[in-house]
Amino acid sequence: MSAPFVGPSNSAFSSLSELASAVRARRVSAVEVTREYLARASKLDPSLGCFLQLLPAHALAQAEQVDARVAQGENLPLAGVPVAHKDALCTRGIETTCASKILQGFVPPYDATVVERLTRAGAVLFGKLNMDEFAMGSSNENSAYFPCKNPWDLDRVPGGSSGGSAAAVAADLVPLTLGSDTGGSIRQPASFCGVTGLKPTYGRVSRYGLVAFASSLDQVGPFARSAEDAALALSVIGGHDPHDATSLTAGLPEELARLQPLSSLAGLRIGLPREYFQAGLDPHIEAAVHAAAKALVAEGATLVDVTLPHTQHAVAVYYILATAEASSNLARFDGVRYGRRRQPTPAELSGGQSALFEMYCRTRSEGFGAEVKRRILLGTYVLRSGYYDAYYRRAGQVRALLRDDFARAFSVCDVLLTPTSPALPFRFGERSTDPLAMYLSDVYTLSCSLAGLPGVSIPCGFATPTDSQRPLPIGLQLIGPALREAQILALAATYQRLTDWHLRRPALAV
Amino acid sequence: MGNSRGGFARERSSSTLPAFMKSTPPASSPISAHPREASAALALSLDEVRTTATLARLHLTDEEAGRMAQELSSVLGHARALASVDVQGVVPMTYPVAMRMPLRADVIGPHDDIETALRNAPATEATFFTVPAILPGSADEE
Repeated sequence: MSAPFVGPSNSAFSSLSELASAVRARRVSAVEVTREYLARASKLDPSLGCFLQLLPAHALAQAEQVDARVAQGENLPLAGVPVAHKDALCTRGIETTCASKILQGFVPPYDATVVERLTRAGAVLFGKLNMDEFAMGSSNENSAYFPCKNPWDLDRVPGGSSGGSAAAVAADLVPLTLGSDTGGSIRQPASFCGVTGLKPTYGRVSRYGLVAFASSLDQVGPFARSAEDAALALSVIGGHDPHDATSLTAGLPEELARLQPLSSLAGLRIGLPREYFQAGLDPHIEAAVHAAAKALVAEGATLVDVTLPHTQHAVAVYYILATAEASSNLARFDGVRYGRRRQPTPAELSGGQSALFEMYCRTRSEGFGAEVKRRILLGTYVLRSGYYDAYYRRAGQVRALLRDDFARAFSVCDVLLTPTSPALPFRFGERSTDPLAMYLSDVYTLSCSLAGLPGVSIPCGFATPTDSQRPLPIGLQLIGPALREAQILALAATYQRLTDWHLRRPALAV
Repeated sequence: MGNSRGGFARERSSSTLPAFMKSTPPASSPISAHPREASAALALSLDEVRTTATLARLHLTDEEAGRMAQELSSVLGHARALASVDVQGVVPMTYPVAMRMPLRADVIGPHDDIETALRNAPATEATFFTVPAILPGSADEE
């Protein structure tokens, strides 16, 4: 099924590749597309808070360059496609804050590799998107600037940490955004906002220019309307980057650039991990996910009951390892080389510490928000001498067992199908007073990240809970073996051919 | 929140979380056999929080330290369940994929000039970043 993008009013497109080919064929100009989307974004974003910075002049100038390149015959796979990036991605000459006060005013001298690759492919940069500070959060409530709202219900969170990236696509402010996923930060907001969000295999996409959170987990990925669009984006941003020693050298399959739904699912074994369907899962979500599985069975797939027995430990493993890595990565924010510095006053130097020590402490204490401090403290604690073996080392061992769980599951099935989140989008403030409750809501996305596997969240229904006036999106997660993005996306595209959940739009007053 | 001795997390979350998340960790675990005893209710004492904050170069107000002790204790309390996992002989996993450290050719590539590298610095002098006095008691010359 397909339906037009909001797109330019006199010419609708059902996919990014259609939009780009129209720009390449000069049936519509990149400038026209840009104007159309800018008008919508400028009008809607003030009530949504997706953009930390919306850059109309920059976008129009870049669109003109795209039109000029098209006129010169350049073959641009994303010609004229409006994009915006999570503010964790460095953009040359454009302030990049990670939604933190400590990076306020930081203007990177270089583009992240993914930003540069999209620009080279003809995409038009609209601006920088809201997020949880340093990508730490599951609701976008930890932005140091302002909250981003869920376009389906403005009283509810868009998820996080890439909340702005998901909400911007859901509201059609731009048809493609980039986010980053450390423990679910692409998939969970994609689920909450009713869009398609892909976390590629660890190492599939370069992280050069991504502000580091947890280096053994971080991965960049796209948000889009459909699996086909996400695949096209991955074909542009993925692949080895000499600037990132952890990026994989394996080539990207060519079918990503022109992903097709599968004509039949005969022979496909879909694993349902039983730990992901236990008590506590919202019944609306459980029903929608089971209905989706049934729809795939009707196409020829078979369902396999699998077990991932260490799932119950994923939250603990993740919050030990991710915070340990974060405490190290965030040590660089010290007020010396970039970002804000808080100079101690003479009165503050009476404690016998050096002025440098006081500068570090005051810069960091005033520059970081509460959640970032909490995670730095937790990470510092678990790495402390005497606790390392009990926490960090043990968490690494259990992580290996989680990875082995997946390996066993993939010996009897081809793909795993799960809910993306155990809960529907929640209201602002509903969980922010209890960090552990917030962490536990990431349970279905963490294991996939810990194992380094690719996962995609796609819309699979809507539910109107008793406390809500509005239907809220439900997300379905497909997890594949390493490097099988094309396979899980083709399955997602197959599901999207059968259903129209991914095409539904929130009612927003334009 | 936070005044119910660390038990608030379980209470709040019990209605919305999968059953397997609620298992009570065994009491005699290696992970529980440390600073927990420093305080009857908290896995992490106020003193531990303050020492950790100093290591992380963070100042905490008394109110912040108290809250962090509660919140971190609740997370560490949850993590105690890891002690029940049999990890005998398991090699810790540090990265998702086996990687060899790649070597590049020993050739100078393009790089930023000094002016660009210093542009975001809060304080500079000539071609250097400058910092406040590094010895206690020295006059701060910045």
